[in-house]
Amino acid sequence: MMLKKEELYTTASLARLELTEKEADLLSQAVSQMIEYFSIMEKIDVTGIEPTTHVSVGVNRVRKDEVVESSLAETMIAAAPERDERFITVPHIL
Amino acid sequence: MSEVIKTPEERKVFAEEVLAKDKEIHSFLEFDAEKKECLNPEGPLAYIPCGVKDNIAVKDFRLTCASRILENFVSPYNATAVDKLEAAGAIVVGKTNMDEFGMGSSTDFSAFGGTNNPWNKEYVTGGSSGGSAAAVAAGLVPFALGSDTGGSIRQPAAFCGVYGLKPTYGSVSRYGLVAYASSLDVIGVLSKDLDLTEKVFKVIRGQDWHDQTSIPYPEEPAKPKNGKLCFTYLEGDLGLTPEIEKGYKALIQKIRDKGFEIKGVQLPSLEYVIPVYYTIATAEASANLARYNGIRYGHRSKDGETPMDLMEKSRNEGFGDEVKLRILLGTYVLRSGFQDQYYIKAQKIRTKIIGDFKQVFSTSDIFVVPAFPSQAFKHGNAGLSAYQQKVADKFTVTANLTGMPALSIPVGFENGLPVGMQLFADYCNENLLFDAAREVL
Repeated sequence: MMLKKEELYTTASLARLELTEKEADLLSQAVSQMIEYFSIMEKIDVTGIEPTTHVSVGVNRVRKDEVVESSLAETMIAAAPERDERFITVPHIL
Repeated sequence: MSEVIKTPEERKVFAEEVLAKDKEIHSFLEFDAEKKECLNPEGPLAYIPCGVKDNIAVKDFRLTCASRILENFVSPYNATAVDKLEAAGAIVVGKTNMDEFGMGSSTDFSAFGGTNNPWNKEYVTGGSSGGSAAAVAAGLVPFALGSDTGGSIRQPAAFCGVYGLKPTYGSVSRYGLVAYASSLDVIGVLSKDLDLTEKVFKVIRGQDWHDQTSIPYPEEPAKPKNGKLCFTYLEGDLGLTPEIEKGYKALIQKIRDKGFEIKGVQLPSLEYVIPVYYTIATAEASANLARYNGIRYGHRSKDGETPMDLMEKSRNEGFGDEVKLRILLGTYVLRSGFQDQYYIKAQKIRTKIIGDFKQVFSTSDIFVVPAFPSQAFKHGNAGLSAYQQKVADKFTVTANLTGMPALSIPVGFENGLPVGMQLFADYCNENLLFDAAREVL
């Protein structure tokens, strides 16, 4: 099964990933190869079996809702590619 | 090389030796033996230098995940596992190379160049924790932390001839580990020394309120079911190279010769563990890697005209091909209309695989399995294709799908390259893995 080019571009757009023409050619082959491999799963009967999402979670754990001091705010904002004082700047939205 | 760096002079000599040796291996992405002090001179790991895989946060070191998208990102805090190492006296001296975001089995998918196998530079180290495996195999550091999502500690350990522990899921906090596939990821240890591997695991394990999936580790060590360790091995055609086949058979024979019971088992589910694993891993990865968008941190494209355009371009420029492939695959299998066919189906088969392994451990303590179907392969086109590498992960991914612990052990050499095998055990039975390794080697 070869994934259609439009399908790949739709998927890339959902993943917020720009693809060049060349990358799209290369990746559609690789993605198709894996999707085809995934089709082995079709023949396995899973009637009545529950899906496993995590293996360790027994009960829901909650912590106290407490205020804690943190000195990380400035470091976090300083990691932004562009800033204006305490704001992170992005290209114009409107 | 000295096992500890206590005095300023020892530190200096150590740094010079590592830098000189690592020129040919390229196991470290960042190295600085002066950055950290020993915080506990009485601790169990006092003054022991260590490497940390570059997807685990160490304060004031870069945290690149071997990706352009995080090239200049410096971690503002420590991962819990690193906090625990430091509290035990260990000194982090650098960050080790890896496949970008942990996605690969060679470390050649690092955006900053691959790592060479210390036994033969033409060969890969395996991956994705290839830098950690090479650093300990070359004797640069006594131990290193790695992470394992589908074999990323155990396969490079096997390729480089060292021990590699993938602990029980949740036994080591994932806080500060950059997420790849959250239901499979775990931090573990690589070392040439089995006792040190166990010691480090004891230091870093334990429940952590920063990680809701972390579990309290049992205080009592597990005991063999029948008073004496009982083993299981895989029967049938496993598709191994002659070298690995030879090593596997020899290990089984050795276990028998030492008077342990060992029985063969067929595991039909091995045939479909790879599709199940890659469906789940890429689905979770596509969600986890959504955060790298050039807005709050990491690489930002210079050409983005709108916020959306900025995100798409930043991601295109920042991610390598293998990461893009996995994001696309993961997004595809999660698309509306496909979820039942892929993601949910894979999670149901995962339940079945867990059942198969529980069956194995209902009558035995240790499951002996090869680490990889071949020894280390060559760099580049002479080696395995990216697709072949994925298919070959079948012996390692089951530990992640089941959440069970597994230990990669070096069993010998063929053609000048290490041969590695794996021991699996039931949940939180790591002590039995270490006991078994001591008994059979």
